[in-house]
Amino acid sequence: MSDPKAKQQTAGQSKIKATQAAKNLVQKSWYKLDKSYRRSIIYTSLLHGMVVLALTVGWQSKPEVKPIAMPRHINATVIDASTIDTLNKKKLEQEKKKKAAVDKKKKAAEKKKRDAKKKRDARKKKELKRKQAEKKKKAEAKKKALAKKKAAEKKKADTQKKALIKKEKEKEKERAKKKKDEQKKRDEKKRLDEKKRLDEKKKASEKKRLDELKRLKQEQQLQDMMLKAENDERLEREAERLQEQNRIEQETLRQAQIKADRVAEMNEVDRFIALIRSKITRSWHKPQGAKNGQTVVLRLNLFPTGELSNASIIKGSGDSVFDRSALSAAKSISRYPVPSDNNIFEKHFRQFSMSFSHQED
Amino acid sequence: MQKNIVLTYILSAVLLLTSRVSIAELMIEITQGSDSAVPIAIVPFTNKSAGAIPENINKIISGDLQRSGEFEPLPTNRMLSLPSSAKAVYYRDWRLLKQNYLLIGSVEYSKYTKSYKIQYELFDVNQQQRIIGEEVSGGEKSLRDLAHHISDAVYEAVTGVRGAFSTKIAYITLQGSPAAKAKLEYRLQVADADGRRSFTLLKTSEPIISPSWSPDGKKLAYVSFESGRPAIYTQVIKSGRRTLVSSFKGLNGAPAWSPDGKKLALTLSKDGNAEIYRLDLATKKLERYTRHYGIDTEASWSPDGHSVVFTSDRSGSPQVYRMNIYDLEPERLTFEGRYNARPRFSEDGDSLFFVHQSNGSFNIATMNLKTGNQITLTETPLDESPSLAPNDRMLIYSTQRGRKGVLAVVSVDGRSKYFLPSAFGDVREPAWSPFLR
Amino acid sequence: MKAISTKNALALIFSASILAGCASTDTTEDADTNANADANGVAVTDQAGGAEAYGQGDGANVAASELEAQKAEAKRLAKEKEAGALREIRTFYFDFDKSSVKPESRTVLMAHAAFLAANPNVNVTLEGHSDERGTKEYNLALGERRGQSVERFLVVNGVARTQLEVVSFGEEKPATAGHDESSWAKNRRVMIQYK
Repeated sequence: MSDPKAKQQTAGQSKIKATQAAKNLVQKSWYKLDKSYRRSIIYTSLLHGMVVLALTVGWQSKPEVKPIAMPRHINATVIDASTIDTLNKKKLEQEKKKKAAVDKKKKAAEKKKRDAKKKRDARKKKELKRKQAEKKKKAEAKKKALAKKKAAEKKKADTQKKALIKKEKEKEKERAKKKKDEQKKRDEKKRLDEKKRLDEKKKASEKKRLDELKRLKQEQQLQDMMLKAENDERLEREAERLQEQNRIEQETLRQAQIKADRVAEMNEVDRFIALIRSKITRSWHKPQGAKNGQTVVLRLNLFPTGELSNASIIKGSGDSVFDRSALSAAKSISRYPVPSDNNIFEKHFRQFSMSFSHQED
Repeated sequence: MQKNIVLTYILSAVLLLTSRVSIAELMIEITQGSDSAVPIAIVPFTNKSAGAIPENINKIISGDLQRSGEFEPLPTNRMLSLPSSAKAVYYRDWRLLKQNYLLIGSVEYSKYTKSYKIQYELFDVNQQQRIIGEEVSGGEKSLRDLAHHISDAVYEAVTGVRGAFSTKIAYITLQGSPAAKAKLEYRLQVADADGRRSFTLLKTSEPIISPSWSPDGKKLAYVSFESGRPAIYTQVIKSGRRTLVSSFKGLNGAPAWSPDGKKLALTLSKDGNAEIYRLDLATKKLERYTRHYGIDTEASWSPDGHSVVFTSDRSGSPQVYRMNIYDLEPERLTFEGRYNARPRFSEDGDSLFFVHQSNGSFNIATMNLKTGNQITLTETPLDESPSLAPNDRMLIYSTQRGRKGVLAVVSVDGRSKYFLPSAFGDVREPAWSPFLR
Repeated sequence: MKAISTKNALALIFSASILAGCASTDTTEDADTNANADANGVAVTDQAGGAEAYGQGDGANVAASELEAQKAEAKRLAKEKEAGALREIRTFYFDFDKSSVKPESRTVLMAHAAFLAANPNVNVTLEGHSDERGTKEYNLALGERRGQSVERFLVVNGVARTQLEVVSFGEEKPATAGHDESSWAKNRRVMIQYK
């Protein structure tokens, strides 16, 4: 019993001894080493320790259980080689269609652009026309205002004259009235005086009466003369007014004459336009390939004899055959019908424009 | 003093300017032109060679231009001068004669090349300028072709439309009389558009009908009864080589070439009654286009190849129908009168030409497809088989003159009408070729 | 039947000729003797009192049934003749733009139908035609429709389809060349061509 114990003890002792020895050895060798070596040994052992730790820790952690996905059944269908072709064909067709659509779109876009431009041009034209119309309107309005002013001024002068006449008349009336009143007063006074002095001064009153009668007469005569003078004045003024009226009438007649002349001028112009149009129409061989809406505009210059001095294209139709047919027609007329009145000719026919267009109805 | 002068200048300038602006320039509008033909002087071409030229070049040209109805050639005896070159042209001469155009030229034969050289120039008399000019050459056999080429060039320069004087017509002649039981001879003929230089493609004692040109102008398809019943053949014009393309039981009729030249629309009754089918010439596959117990026949193609027009009596009497080849839904087009048949498209696809019965007589009518407006073009009582020139300006059809069948050509504007000469008896079934290269 | 020997034949002829001679002389000379052979060649039996008695003899002793058969045969022959005459008509006419068989054509067509039904190895071609008015191809189809109309009628009346063939010539083979209503009426036809 003690043997095992002793054995144990000796084993233990030897163990201790061994470890002691080992320790000593290690210590010895340890201090033999350089400091740097020591350091590196410490580091490496630390590192190794960590690795070992990590590994053990890792092993001890629970492994994740990944669920295994069920394999899907693959449904395979047998495709005929020809259908692949058709598929390809379809693809090609689709591509073609796409391309066509893209082209279409492009074309549509281009068309849009062109349409937009057309619209813009049309709008510009409209604007121009409107501006011109406005200008015309303004000029006319001005004219009208001027005429109105003149008429207003005249009216004023007339009313002034009238007022003067009226005033005179009124003054007149007042004067007459005043006189009448005075007269009345005097009569009254005299009568009273006479009543007083009747007995005393009958003769004197008789004489006075006679004198007064005379005086009245004289006054009456004076008044008559004055009235006559006034009448004459009035008549004179009447005459003047009538003269004025006449003058106005003459003036309006003259204006009407001028207007009529202008209308006659326009009629002449229209007549010659119609003559020229019919001559050109008979000479114009419209090309058979003409498209609806094609228009070319020419400018013509004529001599007073009606002969053509120059014809040129100021706005082409885009089709040279069409343009040429118009120019040929214009140049084929050896003498254009023109008015003999030089003023009208210079104003309208020395230079004018002519448009040729093809309209399909 | 100087200052005053300057001032007056400025003032007058201002006045002038303002006076200019205040006058509005007169604008005359022309919307109508002349209905008469364009006067043109075609001077006899100068012969620069020793011998005579086998063809009268300017007679061919003035014949072409006059028959179009759009030109009025000046008779040679009214010409004041006969210039052969540009420097000999006095415009005043031609203005006096009221000519709009002047054509001059020369012909020269070369023994070394054995060919003719033709040079020509076209002048606008009113504008006093040359419009076109060219030099063309060819052998004796092509003299007429060269002349027709010049007609085409002049026509296009003046009207803006391509000339059709170098095209051909196919037609059928009959000698002998079926009723009199005399010996019968049917011929399929091809001639120039002016009726000259005709040659025979087929000669049989049984009827030939419905000639149809291939779009490249190299072949004709037609129906022949030589086997005792109607069958459809195609024939190459140059070599004469024939191919039998359809001989089913019953009818084989009305062949019409598609615009791409690969298919024929035709009439078969193998499935019970007359229906329209499409035959692919390469694969010989048939596709059925109509399904109706009525008669469906006389199909022809639109220029874009997407639709066909045909005759059908499904409404009780023959009328013109149209259907596009993708959905095959027929749409009736004619509603005037109780007989409208054998429709043909114009090259621009805008109009149809067909046979229309009114008041007992059969005439050629045309319909504008955009407006539906229909007008009758001819007045003779038994008119048939209208065919348009490829520039859509002339129409050829068969009619009766005296007791004979003849071909009549009218300009679509109605100004010109003439009859084509025939060497062999009764003429019928004309077909105008496409433009030939 | 035993052949009669030449001897016996000669004897017959000899006696016949004697009888004939006697008969003729008796008739002219002896009015009393009744050796008259009546129309039937019946021998006259001698009777007392000058009466003439006749026997039936061996002339045509026709039975009632035989008469009936004869009558029927005669009728049949007459009908055949009539049918044959009807069948001589090979052309049937139509109205403008119409393909229906006219009532007046029915009797004749029936005759043809009967004949063809009874003779299934006989084939015919039905040729359809139209007048010249209108367009050629439409007329070709119209001619065919007329031929088919006659074909239907024959089939309904017992003819096998295999015996019939329809061919159309449209307006290409007119019967007359005129350009008027009466000529046109003659051209709108179907013709039965026996092969």
